[in-house]
Amino acid sequence: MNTKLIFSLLIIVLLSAHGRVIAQPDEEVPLTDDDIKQFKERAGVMIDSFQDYLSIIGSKERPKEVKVYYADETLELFIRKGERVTMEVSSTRRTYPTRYPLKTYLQRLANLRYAKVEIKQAGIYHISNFYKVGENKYRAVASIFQQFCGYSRYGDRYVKRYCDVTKKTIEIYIYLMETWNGEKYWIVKLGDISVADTTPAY
Amino acid sequence: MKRIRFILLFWSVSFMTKAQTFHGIIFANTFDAKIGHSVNINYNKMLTEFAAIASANNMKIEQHYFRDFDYNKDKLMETLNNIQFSSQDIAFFYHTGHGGRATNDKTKWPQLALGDYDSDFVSLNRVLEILKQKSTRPQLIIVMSQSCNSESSSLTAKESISGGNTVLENSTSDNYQKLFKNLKGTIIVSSSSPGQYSYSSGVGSTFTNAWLKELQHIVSGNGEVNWNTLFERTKQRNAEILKHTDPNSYPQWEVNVTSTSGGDDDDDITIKTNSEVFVNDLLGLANTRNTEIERIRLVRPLLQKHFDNEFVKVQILGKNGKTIVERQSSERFLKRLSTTRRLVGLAVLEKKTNSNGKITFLKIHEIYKR
Amino acid sequence: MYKFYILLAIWVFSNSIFAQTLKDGFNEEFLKMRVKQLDEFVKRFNYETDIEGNPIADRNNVQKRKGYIISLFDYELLINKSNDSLQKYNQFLDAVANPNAPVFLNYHDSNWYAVADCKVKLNGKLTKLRLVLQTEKDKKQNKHWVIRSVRADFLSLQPKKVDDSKFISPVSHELNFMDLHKITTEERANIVHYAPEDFQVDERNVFFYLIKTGQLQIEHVERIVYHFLQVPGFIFTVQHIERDSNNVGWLTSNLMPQTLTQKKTYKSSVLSLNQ
Repeated sequence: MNTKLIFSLLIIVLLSAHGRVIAQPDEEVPLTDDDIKQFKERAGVMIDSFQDYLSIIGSKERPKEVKVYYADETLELFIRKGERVTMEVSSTRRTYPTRYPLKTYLQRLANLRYAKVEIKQAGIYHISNFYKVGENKYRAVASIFQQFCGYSRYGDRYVKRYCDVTKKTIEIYIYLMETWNGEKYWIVKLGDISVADTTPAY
Repeated sequence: MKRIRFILLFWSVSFMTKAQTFHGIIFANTFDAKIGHSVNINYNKMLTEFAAIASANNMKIEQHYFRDFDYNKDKLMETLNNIQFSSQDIAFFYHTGHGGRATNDKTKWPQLALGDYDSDFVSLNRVLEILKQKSTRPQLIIVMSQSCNSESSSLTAKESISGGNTVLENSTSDNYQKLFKNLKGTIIVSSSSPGQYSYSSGVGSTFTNAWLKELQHIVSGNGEVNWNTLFERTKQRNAEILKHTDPNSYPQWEVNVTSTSGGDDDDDITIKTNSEVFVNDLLGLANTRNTEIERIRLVRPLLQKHFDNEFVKVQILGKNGKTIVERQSSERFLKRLSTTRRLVGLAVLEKKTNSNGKITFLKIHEIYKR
Repeated sequence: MYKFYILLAIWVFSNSIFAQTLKDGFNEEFLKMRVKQLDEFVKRFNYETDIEGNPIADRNNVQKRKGYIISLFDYELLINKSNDSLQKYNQFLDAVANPNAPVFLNYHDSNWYAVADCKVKLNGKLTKLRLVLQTEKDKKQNKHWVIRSVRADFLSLQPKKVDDSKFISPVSHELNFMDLHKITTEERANIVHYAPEDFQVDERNVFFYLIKTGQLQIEHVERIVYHFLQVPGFIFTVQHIERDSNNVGWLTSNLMPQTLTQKKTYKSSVLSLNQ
């Protein structure tokens, strides 16, 4: 039993020695307004990437290998690599949105039963100010607009079966991380995605 | 067949056409004990801005950046004498370091201090003259000097550093083109006028910061898009910063430009090539003209070609050249680039290599379109 | 007054001729004009950023700032109204954009509030509740919203009819207070009546207790209205207005001229801030 415990502890120490991020630091580390501005721009780039990735994952023309690769890249944009991050999905056919774990949402998106799927994003979006919400942690919200259309196939033509425009909000976090060797750095990641409003699109 | 396609992919984006080239030339006195820190900040910011200007103008970029030991008169003269242009190119020379003037100097432009002795000083307008007298003169020549710097303890880091335009909207690019690609002639500017000092602080030099800030405002659509307006606004901002330190320090400039009929007719910003192979390969990886599968399959070969291993530290910096907005391993970095759909330019701020020429550390700035 | 009409005319005119630029099915011009977040409302109100989110270089331009503030109104407040009813808007613009004392909104201001009308479940039954929230900054500079007041019929501890015959007898001490149990059973409707005369019920305590004991859950927020009291002489509200137009999003939904005394009354009567 003792040998097993020692062995397990040794494994943990060895894994930590590879420079994995292990904990949030204790003392406050300042973040300037200019730094926040840089992170805000970066968040905008990440949101653009997220929306681009969704259109690839939902596309019926891409092979599975590509969709899996892009799904992995999508998760890298989020806190905890998407673990415990939720994505709300709405429909004009339902009163209230449904919430999925992000990974589940991506799997569902990749396997929708339409012959063709189009996901487009508006070029316009807005990111709020960042507000300090805890020690070494800041939070903001982005408002984006997304159009989703699903088509059925009849012979060689596609017929639109469903189309909506949804306003969504994405949480954005800037927080401080510390590596095993004490190096501290700020990081920006996306968080939960909620539906604000859904309207039919024709 | 696949192998041939990969080879073609590697070279396809390096294939030279008659594309216009933006020649960025930077000489930065980063080793100076007194001003080296802020010169380094200026260097990073201008290098980043040059990449943005080239991307926004849909031009290839040729980088001639010199700092540390390469900051000397011999290197400057060698570069100016050897550089070659085509008639549609743009040359932007930027100097950041000490400067001065002789008591009997007939020109109003400063002399750039590229060494400790009098013979190491080169006049800013001489730089302009050399470039103007090239056998093929570039369409537009801009020479700018941030010099006569002295550290001032009364300056605090209040000035918000230019942090805009890592992301290029089409309207922003149009405005950049109005300032660069659509003009021909010469522009010469120095951060201070005869007999005056220039100033810097922990966030870079005041004139350079002011110019970058006003450039961002103007290309974002806030004001008339022309050089004189840009310099007037820079002068005002510079004066505002220095009002309690030295109200008698202000930049000077001469703008002699006319409109051209414009360059090529690309409506959208696209990836253009870079003179550096490494950057070229990265841009190839990000190029959406290749299929997703082709790009994904480029990751491993590029990792082996350029990096020492898959865990090499890559730091992505914001537009201010200072804030690290993302940290990734080399493998993560390349994977991300293989999926991005909007990258149009890259600026390498620092690159360390081992004896085999493989990268062991990288600092980079990314430029995106919307 | 004519200047107001010019500003209004420019705003109305520019709203109606926006090109219907469709990009990938989105009306980009409408999306630009849309006030997508409250943050965006504040930035336009303060003339900090334009409709594309770019910082405005010359923030001292009073007329342009007034134009932006007008664009933030729900246009139904302004169209086809009499001179007299439009007068207050003119005065409001002058108060806000006064070059000697301009008013800017700030997240950290103490006199703006969010009123959230919520659908709640009380012991399994759906009902309504109103929360009034305000921003607060703690000692570590962390920011958050706090609940300043709560209003719902079920939170009231006042009996429907006060029964003056019910009280704790003045001789209860001689009876070892043996009748105290009655105030928790047959006489519990009057429970507040057994407190001192100066006792004030804080409905938040009842609310917090019901939440903590699992008797009350907030299902969702049905409506949010923001109340801004910062502008001298005025109170205005902001709420989300959805329509197929470029006058859409978070917009000023009401403007009321209010003196300081009237503002105090407003705080207690509308926002229940005497809790």
